[in-house]
Formats: sequence, C-alpha cells, structure tokens
Amino acid sequence: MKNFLKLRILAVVIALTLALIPAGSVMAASTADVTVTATPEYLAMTNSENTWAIGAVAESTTVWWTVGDVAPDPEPFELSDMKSMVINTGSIASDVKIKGIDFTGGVGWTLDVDGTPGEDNVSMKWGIVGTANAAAMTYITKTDAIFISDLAASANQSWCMNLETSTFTDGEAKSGTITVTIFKHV
Amino acid sequence: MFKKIAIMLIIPILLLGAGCTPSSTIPKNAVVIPPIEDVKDTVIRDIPSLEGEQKTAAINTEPESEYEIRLINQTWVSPAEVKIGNLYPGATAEWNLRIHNGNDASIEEEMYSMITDPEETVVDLNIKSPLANEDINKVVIISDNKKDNLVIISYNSNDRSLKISGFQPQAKRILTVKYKSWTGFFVEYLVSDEKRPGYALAPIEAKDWVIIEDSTPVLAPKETKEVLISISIPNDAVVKDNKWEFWTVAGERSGGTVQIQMATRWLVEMRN
Repeated sequence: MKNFLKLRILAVVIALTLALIPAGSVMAASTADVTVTATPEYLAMTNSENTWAIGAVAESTTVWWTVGDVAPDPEPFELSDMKSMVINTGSIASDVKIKGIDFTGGVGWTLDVDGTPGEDNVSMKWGIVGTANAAAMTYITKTDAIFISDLAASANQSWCMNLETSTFTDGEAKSGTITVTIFKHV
Repeated sequence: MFKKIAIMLIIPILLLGAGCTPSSTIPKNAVVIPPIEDVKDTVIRDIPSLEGEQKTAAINTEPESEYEIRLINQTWVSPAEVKIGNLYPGATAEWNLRIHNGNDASIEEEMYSMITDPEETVVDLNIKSPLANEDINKVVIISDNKKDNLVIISYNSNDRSLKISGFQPQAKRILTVKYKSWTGFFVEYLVSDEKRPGYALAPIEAKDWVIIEDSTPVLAPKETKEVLISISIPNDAVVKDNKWEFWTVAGERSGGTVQIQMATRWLVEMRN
C-alpha cells in the first residue's frame, strides 16, 4: 500500500513535470520582448522674432522680413540685415527644418515654389549671412526642407525672409504660418 | 529509492516554476523597460540629467546650477529619441514625452464685439489663451453696455470658452476680458522624410497606431508635464518594413508667424 502511494505520487510528479516544461518554454519566449529605451537628451530652440505683420501688400512686389524691412544692401547678405536668430538651446547637436503653408483668408494665396507665382500665388524665401542675393535665397515649400544642418548646442543661426507677390483677385486679409522644426542630428 | 527519485524530480520542477512565475504574470503585450546603464534618470527627474551619451562641450563647461536654472526658464522637450525594439502585431509600447514650460504666466486683455439675440442672456465666449488654473474668479469682464450685469458661470478648457450670464437681450456691446493665462502646447504625430539610415518611413496606418494621451496639454509656468505616447499595433496588421521611424512634434501654440516645434524621433524595430 505504501509503495502504491509512492508510485501514485511519482506519477503525479512526472505528469506535472511534463506539463510544466513546455509551458515554461513558451512563456519565456513570448515575454520580455518589447523594449523601449531613451537617453536624457532634450530639444529646445528659440527664435528671437516670431511675428511678421506685413500690412498692406501691393501686387507684383517683394516685401522683406529684414532689419529695416528692406532688401539687403550691400550684397551678399550681412548679419546686420538679419531679422531673427535661431538658437539651439537644447543639449545636443540638431538639424532644423522649415516649411510653409498656403495663406488663408478670402480666396487665399497658394505658396509658389518655382519663382513664377501666378494669380493669387505668393512665394517665400529664406536667406542667411552670406547669401549672395535675393535670387540665391531658398524657397520655403509646403513640405519640410532642411534649413540648418548640424547646429551645435548653444549655437545660433541668423536669418531673414522675403515674400514675393503676384496679382490678387480679392482684397481680404491673409495669414500664413512658417513652421520651424528642430530634431536630433544624426 | 522512490523518495530520491521524487526529490530529483521536484527540485527541477521548483526551479522551472521559479523561472516561469515572473514570465507568466507578464501579459504578452507588456512593455518591458530595461534599466538604462550608461544614461540615468530618463523618466524620474524633471530636469534632464547632465549625464548622457550626447553631452556637448557647451553643456559640460556650464556649472550645473546655471544649467538647471536655464532648464527651468526655457521650454524644452525630452527625450530627443526613443528606440522601440522587438515590437510585433498585438504588442504595445509606450513612453512618456516630457514637456517643460519655461514661460511665466501672462496677462491677456481681449476685446470682443457682441450682439445678443432676442431673449438671449447667456453666451459662450471663446478666449484666445488657456485660463490659468481654470480659475474663473480671476477673470475680469467689462461691458460698455450698462444694462448688462455679467457673471461668469463656468470655463470649458476643451474649447477655452467662458459661459457668461447676465446679457441684455437684443443689444450690442464691446466686451473687455482680462485674465491670466498659462501656456497651451500641442503634441502631434508626424511622418518626416528625414529618416535614420536603415529605417523606412512609418506605414500609413501607423498614424492610427500611435496614441497621444493629451495632444493639447496646458502647462503652468515652469511646469514639466509627461504626455504618454503609446504605439499599439493591431493583431492583424502587416508591417512591411522591419525598421521604421515616426516623429512626434511638440511646441507652444504661439499664434505667431513663425511656429517653433521640437521633434522626437521614434525608431521602431519589429521582432523578426
């Protein structure tokens, strides 16, 4: 009777062993899989001048977002022409992108990117110190494009813009936004 | 003999059991955040640590006290990059995006021209900035119509509207509203064509997989807020690329011509 009891215990133990071994393997393989890691870096940026109240704009003309709101003279562009300054106040070297949107208000203005703005189109361009002239400025498009590359922590970049108009079909007020995005340089 | 055999079998069972216990209590889609060895305090401290892989000379030479003061008084987002490994359909990964508001509270003064309809005495008025502490008792509202007897009933933070009673029906007036505001932020999902080498653009469907806990957080002056970002891939999703990247962007709702935003890279690697 005693041996019979031991045999039953042994059988239960073996059964448990066989039952647990494969289950244990499956669980181990399916867990601890997804990992999330990050480093204590931070992103920060300032831009000294965030507004551009253009006021009334004439057709087929160019308005400037520079010191004095005039075309830089002499050329190439100098620091004294620059309206604003971007500073990387974050902890890491970063890249900066820039993009625009179509202007809203009335019939709106479409942002033109090839230098030939049509009716109710405008184009916007940015320049920095050393930009040769207005023609050498870079168009602001509706998709993110590199504005500043590998800007070190605490480093800065001064910049300016202009806006070229074409013909208008209404006189409603317009508004648009330029978005500047900073992200970790790779 | 039976006793010896039984002991020999029980010991491995106990060992196996010990190995299985933690595993079996973790749901299949659990997020396992490993200890960060050479970088510290990613989630715990309000101020990012000086220690890290990407220290710069400028930061290193700055006394820590000045560094921390600067961090308090400027707006920042952390981390700059999050890596998700071994993600698979049916799994969820999450991380807190930390946003710090370096601004002080500001005093707003707004003017509105308003005409009430016949029998209209209560009006919802949308103000431009988030009301500090949602405290309607600190709002001053003045009407140039002497027949108005205005009382602010409530504030709805979702649309920044004040419910105001006591208007004279079928009358016009100029309202002046003065209040202290906090800073409204935005957090949005973004796919950028700027990718890490070896990483593809996020699948189009990923926009629905990424959940931003609070996409319009309002922060008090010098407050740091954590916004949970979760990525949950449906069981039946087919993900073509093994490694892909999406971004989240965060910034102040400034209303200016130039909008500044800070982009965190999310690098996802799928389980093979």
